[in-house]
Formats: sequence, C-alpha cells, structure tokens
Amino acid sequence: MTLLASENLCKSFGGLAAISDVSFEIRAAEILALIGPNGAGKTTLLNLITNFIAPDSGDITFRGETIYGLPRHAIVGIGIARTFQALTIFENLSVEDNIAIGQSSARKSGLRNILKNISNKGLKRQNDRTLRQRLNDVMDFVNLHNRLLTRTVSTLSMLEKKRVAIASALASEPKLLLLDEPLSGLNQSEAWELLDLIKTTKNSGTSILLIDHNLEAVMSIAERVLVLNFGKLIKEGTPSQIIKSKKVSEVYLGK
Amino acid sequence: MSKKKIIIGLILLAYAVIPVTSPENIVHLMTITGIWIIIASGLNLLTGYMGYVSFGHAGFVGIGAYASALLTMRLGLSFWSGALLASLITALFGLLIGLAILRLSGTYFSIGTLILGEILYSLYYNWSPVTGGFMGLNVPGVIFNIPGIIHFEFELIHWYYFVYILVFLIAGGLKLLVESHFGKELIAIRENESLSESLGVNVNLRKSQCLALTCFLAGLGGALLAHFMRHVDPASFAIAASTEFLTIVIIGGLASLVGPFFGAYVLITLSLYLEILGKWRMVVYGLIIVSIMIYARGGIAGILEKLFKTEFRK
Repeated sequence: MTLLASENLCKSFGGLAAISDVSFEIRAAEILALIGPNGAGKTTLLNLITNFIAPDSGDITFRGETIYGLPRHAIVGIGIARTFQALTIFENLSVEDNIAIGQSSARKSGLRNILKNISNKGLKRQNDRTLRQRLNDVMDFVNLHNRLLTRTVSTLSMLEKKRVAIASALASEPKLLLLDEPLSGLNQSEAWELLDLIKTTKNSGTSILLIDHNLEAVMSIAERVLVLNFGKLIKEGTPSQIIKSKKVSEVYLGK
Repeated sequence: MSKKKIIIGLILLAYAVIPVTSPENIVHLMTITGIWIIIASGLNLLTGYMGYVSFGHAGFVGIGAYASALLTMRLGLSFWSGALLASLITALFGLLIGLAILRLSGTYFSIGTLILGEILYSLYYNWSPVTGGFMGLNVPGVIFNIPGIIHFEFELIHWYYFVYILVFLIAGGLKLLVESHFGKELIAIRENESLSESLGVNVNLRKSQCLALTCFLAGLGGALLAHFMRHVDPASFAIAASTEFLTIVIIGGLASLVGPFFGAYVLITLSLYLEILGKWRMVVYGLIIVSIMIYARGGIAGILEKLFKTEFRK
C-alpha cells in the first residue's frame, strides 16, 4: 500500500535544479533509504515532503491527499514527522519537555482549552494521564531510562540526544518518519544500537525514509533504496540491486 | 497547610496591611508599581517566555491609556467598560501589527518594535486634536457605582486594593497559562522556531496569541495609569519608558512569574534612593543593571533560586 507518493517533483534554487522530475513512493511499514553524494538533493527532498520549502511543480500526496499548501505544523498532524540533519533538539529543555512538544498536535493547548480544562478538571486529568502514559511509552520505546525524564538535554550523551530527537518525532505517533543522517556523529556500536531502534520503529508500523552516508548500515536495514544524483533519481531498487548497479558505483567512485 | 501556602498567605497579608500602616506617598508608589507589574508580566510572556524582545512596549501602553481616556471623555463610557474596551483595542492592535512584525525574528523584531514605539510616540505627540499633543489629556477619575446601593469616587486606598487584586488575579492566570502546554510551546518557540514547527506547534498562531495577550495587559496597564494619574501625556510613552519595562523584566528574571514583582520594586527603589546622586544617578543605575545582566542572567529570581535551591515561583 502506498503511503506517500511524489509525482514529477521539481525544485530549483536560482538556476540550480536541486530536484528535477523526481517520482517515487513510500509504502506502508517499510524502510526506504535515500542515498546519493553530497549536494544530490536528499535534504531538499525531505524539506519538500515536510513543506519547509514549496515545489516549483509536481505534487506530493500522503494517503491519497495532496500535502501541498498545508502549514508546516499541520504536516505533523496528518502523520509525517522528521528529524534534522545536524542534531536539532531543545538543548536547554528537559527530556520530558522535548517529548511533550512532540505531542503538540495531540495536546489541545489552545487558550479555549485552558479555560475548558479549568471548568472540567476530570477530563483534563484523564487527558493528561493518557498523554503522560504515551510519553512514558515513547521513552521506553526509544530505550531512554525514566530517570532521565527531568534531565536537561544538553547534559546527555550523543546517542541519548539522538534518542530524544527520535522520541520527540515519534511522540506525535507518525505514520511516516523522515530521518536525516541519524547516524552521523555516532561510533560504530552506537550506530548499530540506533539502527536497532529504527528497525523496531518500522516493525511497530511506522514507515521510515532514511538518509545516511553510512552505506553499509543503510544497506543492512533498508528494504528499498533510492539513489539521487544532481537532483535526479538515477536508480531505485533493493539493496542488492543497488550494490550491483554500475550506474550507482559510477556516481560514488567515478567512471 | 503547606509551608508554601503559609508564605503566600503572609505575603498577601503584608500587601493587605501596607496601605493602613504606610504613609500616603508609599501607597501611591506601590500602586504605580503594581500597574508596572501588570504591564511587565505581559511583556515577560512575550520576551521572557517566547523570546521576542520588544523595545517599544510603552507604545502599546499608550494605546490603552489614550483609548480609555478618550472612550470615557468623548463617548461617556464608565471607567470599567472604557478600560476593558481599551485593553481589547490594544490586543486587537497587537494582532494586526503582529501580522507584520511577527514575521521578523531576533534583532529584527526588536528593531521593528523600537520603530513602532517611536511612531506611536510621534502620533501621541503630534495628533493634538485627539491626544491633546504634548499637553496631554486630563482624565476623569473612577467612580464606583452600584445604583441605589453604593456610590463613591476611587481614592488612593481603593486604587491600591483594586490594582493589587488585579495584579494577583493576573499572576494566577499567567501561572495557569505558563504551566500549561501553551507555556511549553512558547518556550519551545524561544528555543527553536522551526524545530517547534516541525514537531507540530502552530507557531504563527501561538505567536499572535502571545502578542495579543501581552498587548492586552499593556493596554490594561495604560488604562489604569491614565485614570489613576488622571492625566495622560506622550512623555510617559517614550522610548525611555519602554526601556524601563524591559529593564523590570530582565532584572527581575526572564521567564519567571515572580520576576516582574522583583524587577518593579527594585527599579522603583533604585530610582528613589539614587535620587541623591543627582546627575550620577543614571550612571549608577546603568551599572547595576549591566552587572545583573552579566553576572546574574536569571535576574533576581534566578539569584534567589540558587540561594534557596528551589524553583522560585509564586
């Protein structure tokens, strides 16, 4: 089943075509890897999917509906969450607050709701408990110990920070998670731990679009791989097909 | 009864007996400081929690002051409906102007508000037929009237109690607000706007709501000042006044609910006691503020938090 489909997507910056005529799909509960040399347009593609930038032409549909024109925060509401290339989390806030912000689309935090909460304390308590439970579940899921809950994120290790970033993205219970170079800055054993988490996430029913330069790691967990070069999709296939492809090795190693 | 409740009770009791035991000039100063606390608490929401530093806040206070003065003088509204309407007008103005200035961030937002403050000041100064120009307007006092039951004109002591009831109601309301998820979202916006957006925070909506609330409190403060002083003139809304509100928030402690209280009292005490220094007053005043900003970035609330090793919130 197709979760997200991109049709003839184009985006140029000035005269430079960052993405040209890219069509692909992400299926339900799969890990799709997106690889390519630096400047191939991987992050641009991710920014297009999350409406951080608007395409020049083409369309992206998520569960059959176009996402074009949706405000950025609403992208999370329909079930697409992302992390950023350089580790981006709220360094000065606690782990708990980081994840709670990820629940923003589920938490009705408008001014009207604050008034409603005052008038209906029972309902508020019940909602709080559900969200609290989910927050704890997410912590468990990404393997963060409960005692870290109130710790300021800047005091955590790199791997723990990466887990927090993924936890806050997962807190919105997305159907699709976009991970932009999650393995960068981790050593080998940490990288394998994070890959385990990515696999578990997929097994729980969330599709993953994974960008990373660690090809060995990517090939080991992806079900399908897309290869971008100069903004064009040059190859699509299973990891073994990609490894054998002459076109792909030319891109990486030269002719 | 917890220790915290006892402390809060004692503080409230102290506030209640101050006008009875203190000379009139102190009660007068306390009342003005109370109004400053209301304005600074609003500014704290915008600057402390959401991280948008406004250098033109006195301009917003001016809208509330002139609007309330004009509504009561020209349209014959009572102070009560005039002040409420004036606060709402200021909030609406904040919403509209927010469409433009909230697109700016960081220093650019601050420059935008600085210019806005200056434009509003010029408007108050030059639009003589409406604002009375540099002479300003003489504003009617407040009459408390429940027909057939009670009728009296507000005197100093009534003002004092009225202002502080508002101060504590607003502080309570703000406590609810900043401790809710809404408050967390404001802080998230301060820390990283695009990350907040990508995690599902409706950043544009929250920013407008925050500015509108801030402006509502600025407008309310302005209306109270106008009717308490029974006079409005442009000098009260110049850049110097904007700087003072910002100073209160910063030395009190950004993003602390009690910060504006500390900031306002320290500022007014400083300006009183440094009077004897004559023209050197501003130098010493400046030094104190700069030292607090360098050595105690959490402001007075931050220092106390460290001393008592507890989160210092009312």
